[in-house]
Amino acid sequence: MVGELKVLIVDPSEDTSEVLKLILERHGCRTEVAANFRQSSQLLQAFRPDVIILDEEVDRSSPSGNEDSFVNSAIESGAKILVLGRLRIPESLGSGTVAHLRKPYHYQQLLGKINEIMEVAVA
Amino acid sequence: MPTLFVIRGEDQGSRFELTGERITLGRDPANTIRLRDPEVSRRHAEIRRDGDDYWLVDLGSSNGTFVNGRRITQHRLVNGDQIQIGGSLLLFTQPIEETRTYGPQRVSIAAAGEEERKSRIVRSIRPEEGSQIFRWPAESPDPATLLRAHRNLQIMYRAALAASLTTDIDQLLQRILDLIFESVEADRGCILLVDPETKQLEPRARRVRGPAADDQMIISRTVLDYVLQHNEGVLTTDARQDERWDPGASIVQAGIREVICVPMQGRYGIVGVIYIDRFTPPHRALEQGGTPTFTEDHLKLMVALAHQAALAVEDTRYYSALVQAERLAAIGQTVATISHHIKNILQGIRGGSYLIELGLAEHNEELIQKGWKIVEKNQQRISSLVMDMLTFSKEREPELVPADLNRVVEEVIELMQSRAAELGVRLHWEPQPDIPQLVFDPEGIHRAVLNVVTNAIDAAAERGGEGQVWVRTELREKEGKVAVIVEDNGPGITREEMRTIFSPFVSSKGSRGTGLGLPVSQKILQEHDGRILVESAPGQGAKFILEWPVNYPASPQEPVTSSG
Repeated sequence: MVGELKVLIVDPSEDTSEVLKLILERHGCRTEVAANFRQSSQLLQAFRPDVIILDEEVDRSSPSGNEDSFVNSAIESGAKILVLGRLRIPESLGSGTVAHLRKPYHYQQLLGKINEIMEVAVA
Repeated sequence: MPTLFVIRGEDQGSRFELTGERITLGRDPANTIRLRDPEVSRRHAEIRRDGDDYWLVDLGSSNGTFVNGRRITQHRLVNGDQIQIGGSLLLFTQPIEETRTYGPQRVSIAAAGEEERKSRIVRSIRPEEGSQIFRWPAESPDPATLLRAHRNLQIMYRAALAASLTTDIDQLLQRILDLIFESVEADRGCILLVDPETKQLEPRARRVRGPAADDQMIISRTVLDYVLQHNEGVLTTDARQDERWDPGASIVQAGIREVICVPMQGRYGIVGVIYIDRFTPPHRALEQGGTPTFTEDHLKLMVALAHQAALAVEDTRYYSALVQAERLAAIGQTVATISHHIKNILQGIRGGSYLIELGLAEHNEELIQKGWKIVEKNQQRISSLVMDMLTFSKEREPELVPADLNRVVEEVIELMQSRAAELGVRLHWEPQPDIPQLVFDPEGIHRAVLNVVTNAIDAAAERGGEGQVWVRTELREKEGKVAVIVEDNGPGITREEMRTIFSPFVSSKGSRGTGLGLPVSQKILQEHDGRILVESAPGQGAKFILEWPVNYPASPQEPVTSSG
């Protein structure tokens, strides 16, 4: 399941995004990396991801207000969002669209979560 | 022991015991009492002990030394004096010489006994009546009344002053007892406060006059209960009015015991009671013709003082609770922020370890190296976090030794060159060549400069390959200062960011920053009596000037030629 997905990684940390990219690509995913909401908004249109992995740290390195508009655009595009850590997501979003994974996580847990939200989406 | 308590200024909350014959105050670390206030001169003033007296002497300070608002050159300190040095305000407190204060543990509350049953209430008043101590009679007051009213006013003023000068409840209560003993001929006195948890009366202060100093002070449960239940101050005596005029009466033969007990009525209820008593031996009672020592005026004064003390106790408790709540909130925020950083570092280590595992399983050295590099980087991050937390959290004295400033800064440059290159930033090192050995804490300054240079590189990296950082040293002999200047061509600092850059745990670098770097650097510079100046505007880079007073070694050194 994971192998066929387009995944957008939004994470300001080069280290963790690099590891995520490597692992996901090894499972057959196509990936793109954005360090902030501005870059991720551009990639949302061009790359049209199935899943967006959103690290909580992006909130601390982006101007306030960008988060809501990005998340709304992502939902409208049909992408599922996996939030790593704690990030405020508007309550108006329906269940099944957004999943959370606490840090520090294991990579098997992360792959499991991606499968989980995509299965929900298919169902 | 006399103490100085800083009630305003950089060192607010610090308490200094005045030991020794001469105590110097100033900004220089060599002073007995070092104040971090930049408006304080390096050697500002001195307290000299002369027997039991303490003299405050100004040492030719630039901004002067003030006591209770008046500029002084020298002044004999008395209890409660407020000393202003620069922007700092210090309170001088000294145990009163004649005070015989004893631990409140020698106070106990006794149930009604035979003797007590002989006592009767002579007068009782509500707390509101305490204010009558200032009221004139309708007709022209006689000089004695005026004098008494004036004295009462003075006592109340001193009580208000005592309440405003301390946040220590026990010290305040002792002061209130002192004032009572100055105006009422009591033998013994104590103050009991209602414990907020148990709601029981607990003795908190005690004072005695005369030889009965070590006696156990037993106070009447009946009187206490009456005062608490009726919220009234009472004056009691065990002498009966009609018997006072009969020299043969048994009570006069046995002497007279009088008691005043008043409630400490605060804004929200009774916070405690003040209890004083006096025993008049038979021969004195006869001499006095049975005239009581305690009067209604005394009772009113006590009620007024008790109200004042109660308000101060309430304020102090409220203030303490507020401080405690703020402290807990700050601890909570600190723990949350540190946990957040550790969590991210752990995630980095987990990522690196995962790559190493994969590399080992696949015999892929490239993966192992990549993973190891991530692990190492995060190990460095946690080490740095711990060092910053240690530096920031503890009071430390800088280890001042002669050292080569250029060499210290050069080590930072060497350490940061690879990181700068990795981020595409050019790091320029421009040392002033003729700086001699100076006395400073090389390890501290290394850390302070490292934090600022790290920030500068991170900021310059945002220029995407065009980032530059300049680091230079300057010895400004005319100003008596030495400086390390770090400049970058990054995005600059907004006015909003400028307000919080030295606040702990505030970082604009997301997971890369702990928010401790600049506060730690600032603390180190302050330990050197120095400061960090910041010049920046959005889009125009930033300039950090770390400057501190130059301090030469005792024996002159030859200039050291830098290799950088």
